Amino acid sequence: MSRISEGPVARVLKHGYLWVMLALVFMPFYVMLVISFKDNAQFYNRPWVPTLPLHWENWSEAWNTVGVYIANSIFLAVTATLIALAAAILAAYVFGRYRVPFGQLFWLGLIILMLMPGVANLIPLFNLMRNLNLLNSLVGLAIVTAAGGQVFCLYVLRNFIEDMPKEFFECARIDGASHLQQVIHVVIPQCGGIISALAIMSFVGAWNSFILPLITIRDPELLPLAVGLYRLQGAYVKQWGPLMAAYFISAVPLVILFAFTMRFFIRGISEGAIKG
Amino acid sequence: MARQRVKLSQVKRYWPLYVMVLPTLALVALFMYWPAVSGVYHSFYRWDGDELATFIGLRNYSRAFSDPTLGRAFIVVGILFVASLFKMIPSIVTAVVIHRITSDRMRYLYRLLFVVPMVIPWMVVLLIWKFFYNPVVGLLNSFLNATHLMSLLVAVNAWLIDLNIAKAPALFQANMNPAWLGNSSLVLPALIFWGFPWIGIIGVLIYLSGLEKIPRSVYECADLDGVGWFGKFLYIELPLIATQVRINLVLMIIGVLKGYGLILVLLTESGGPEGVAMVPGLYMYYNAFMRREAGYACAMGILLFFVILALTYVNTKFVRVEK
Amino acid sequence: MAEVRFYDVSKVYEGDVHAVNDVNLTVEDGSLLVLVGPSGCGKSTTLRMVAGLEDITEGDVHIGGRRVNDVLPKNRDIAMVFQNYALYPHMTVYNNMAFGLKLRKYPGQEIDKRVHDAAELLEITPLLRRRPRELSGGQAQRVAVGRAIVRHPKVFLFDEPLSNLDAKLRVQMRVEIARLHERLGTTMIYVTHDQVEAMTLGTKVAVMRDGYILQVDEPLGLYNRPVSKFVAGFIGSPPMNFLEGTLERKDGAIRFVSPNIELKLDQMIAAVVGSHVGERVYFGIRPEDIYDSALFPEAEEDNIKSMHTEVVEPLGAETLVYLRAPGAGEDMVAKFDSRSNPRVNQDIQVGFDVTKAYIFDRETEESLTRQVAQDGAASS
Repeated sequence: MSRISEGPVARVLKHGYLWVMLALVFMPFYVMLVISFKDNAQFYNRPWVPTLPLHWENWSEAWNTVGVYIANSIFLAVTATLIALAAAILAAYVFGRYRVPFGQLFWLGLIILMLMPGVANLIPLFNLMRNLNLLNSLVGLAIVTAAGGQVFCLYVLRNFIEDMPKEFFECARIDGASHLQQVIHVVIPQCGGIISALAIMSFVGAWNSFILPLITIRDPELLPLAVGLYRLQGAYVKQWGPLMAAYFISAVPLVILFAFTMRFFIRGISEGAIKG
Repeated sequence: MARQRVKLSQVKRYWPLYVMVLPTLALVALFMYWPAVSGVYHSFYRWDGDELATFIGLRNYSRAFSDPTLGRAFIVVGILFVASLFKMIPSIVTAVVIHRITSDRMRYLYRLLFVVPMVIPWMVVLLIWKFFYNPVVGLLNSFLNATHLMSLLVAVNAWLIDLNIAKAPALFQANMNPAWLGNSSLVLPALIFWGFPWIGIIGVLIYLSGLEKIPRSVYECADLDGVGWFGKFLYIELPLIATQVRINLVLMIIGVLKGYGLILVLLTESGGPEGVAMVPGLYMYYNAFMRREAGYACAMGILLFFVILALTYVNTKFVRVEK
Repeated sequence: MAEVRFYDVSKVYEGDVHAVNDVNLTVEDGSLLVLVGPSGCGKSTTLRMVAGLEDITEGDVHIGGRRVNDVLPKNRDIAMVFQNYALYPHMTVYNNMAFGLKLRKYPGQEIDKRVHDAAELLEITPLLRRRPRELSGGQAQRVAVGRAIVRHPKVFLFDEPLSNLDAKLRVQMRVEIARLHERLGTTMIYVTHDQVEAMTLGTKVAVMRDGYILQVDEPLGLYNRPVSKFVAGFIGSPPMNFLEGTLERKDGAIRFVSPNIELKLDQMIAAVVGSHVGERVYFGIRPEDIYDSALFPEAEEDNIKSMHTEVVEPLGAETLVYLRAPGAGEDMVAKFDSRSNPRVNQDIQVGFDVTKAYIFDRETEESLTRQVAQDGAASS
């Protein structure tokens, strides 16, 4: 589809701009990759260009350090995402399809929460988790993370379900589907796009969560990625090569995730944005 | 679509609906409302974050209003906020440029490529920027030295001192690498520059979805009317993504006000040299976990909540966009 | 097999919106009842109350002799076909049709047999592996019907099932639904806003307006003996012409008098409206009962008028002529047969077949001529 008649100059300018921007946003990859193969001597002499020999051992060393963080983060992110979405889909079905007594009151209460800065109640949350014995536990952290993402997921999903043709649900009801069956057979397949987008966002959110694990997780072997890397850069005399390799490795799980779900993600964001 | 109404008398038949809301209700009530209520409660106490709590009425609040550090923190966050407004521009421009690429396949490709950096964990991005600003081995100083921009900065700095515009000692001196995150005068510029080229892919995708709804005929009509490329941006594209821009603006306001993780990582809990980059969120964190003044921190959290509420309200009220 | 009965059924939405008022209706076992009316008349709400998708505010609905007000939709043994088909986009045609049976835990063999039988009946067997987005509108419609058939319900409910189809397909599907009713012999309730659909499909047709059922009758009964001006205007295309005026007795006959036209009533009609002389009334006449006077020798002298042709629409078998009475008065439409060849912007002579005219009360809009047996149709 040609939108605008354009001259060759405009063409070059547009593509040129985008490539320059891409070069800048891809710069971190280059930095990580190049430095990850250096020992400190190579790094101090020629930091910005590839040097020989390549120090592959940096990568195995890095893996030994961050492997456990990555495992922790995967556990955290998967658990939090599953809890957040399972709860949100059920509730969104109710709010998107029905007007139950007291529903509106509860809904308004939830929306106010969107404005609440997470920081405002960090200390009481910390105390609560201590009292519930959830400190220093990845499961506890996952539950709290899921609760934090709950309102956003619910808000987006409700808008989607509300806009679905109600005939789908009515037809299922006549066919004898229970509420749960309507969720499974009607909502989930048809909101697949937005659900995957939310899942990705929720996963990435948990993957990047920092403050909460920073204050709640004590054992080094339970640290999720962000806190682990934060401690790592502060703790040692810096070995830049392994450090950069560790940074690079910590991006790999998301690379895998995005490789499979990029399409949904882009589509989901676009659909979501249209709904506003 | 109209939602089905369930009357009070029918609740018995529709009880599963309440069960379905229960998980969300439990999560939110326990982990969001309870802490919020408890936070409000403790803001009236002198509290060490543990057992020790004495009721002191509104004194935490009066203290907050006369705390010069908190006042400064709000000014800093204000500066960062204004900077963030400008930092929204590249995302908009990028979205428009991608949108104007004529080939469908290239457009998709660019979109895909811009999403790729999202795989880098946020913490890694921060640490790489920290590394970038590193005075000895950082990329920024090497770049400035290699391109002789450093000499230019030194010269300009000396000149400004001669003119009595800048104060001695000079920030930039020959043969000395400036410590971007270590020098109290350079910290804020470094924070503002942080994230260059300031392209937020979520924002770009949201803008693009808005732009894609512009029918081709609108462009053709503009062409016939002789509207130039900038005119199209001003009169067609910008108004049509105004809603999306506003959404992003709200998200950004909340993000900037809440976002102290960035400063915590780059500049430690005390907000960098002389605390120049102390923002309200970080100050709260600092009081709660470093100085064990949890009651005071709670009061600050409440104040912050009202500031966000007010700004969101102002935004929805005055930056109104007709759908 | 079951009959559906409505006893004083009303539906009131919050805010005191009366969607359906006091509906009393019997849909006989094995018949096809069409609910027809303009949008917002409450016909869909009525249907949805049978399905159990809307609560019944007042009154009772019985299906097969059982009161179903508090019965869940799934236990009412009904099947419904929706306007937008509501086919699940993520399921194949086969699975769409089998879904309801699977939920009811039918054995796999039984499901398979029923789906294939229904597919054969509707000639969609080759489509079973496809997904809804790969279907044309007509095919999707068939699948939606098929999904209802496999359930072998007691009652079929159709909610404007053809309104998303183009005109040609609509005619074709209309015939197929009629044939299907013939084959299955199941009770059906069919909602539409299209009076042609209503007339061609229904064993009985109920005309609704503002939540009230105005008339329930066989299609020709509606056409020949409308109870009110609204029904008369709603049934038939182009709609009936209405003239406003008074009834006056002159020279021993009753005449309809309006500012620009005066017509002498037929004796049969005059006999029943005699008591209304002097009252304001509407005079109704269908386009097909206005003739080119050259081709209508039966017309009395009094009922041949000179009129001006405003627009002429030749449709082939017939020609629609938009006429205006002299003095820029009443406009009306006439349907001439192909033998006459009127030109636009001319004064022509037209004859009114007053034996087929209707008189409606000006205030109540009720028909004053219902007792007149029209055109040899069965007397009421």
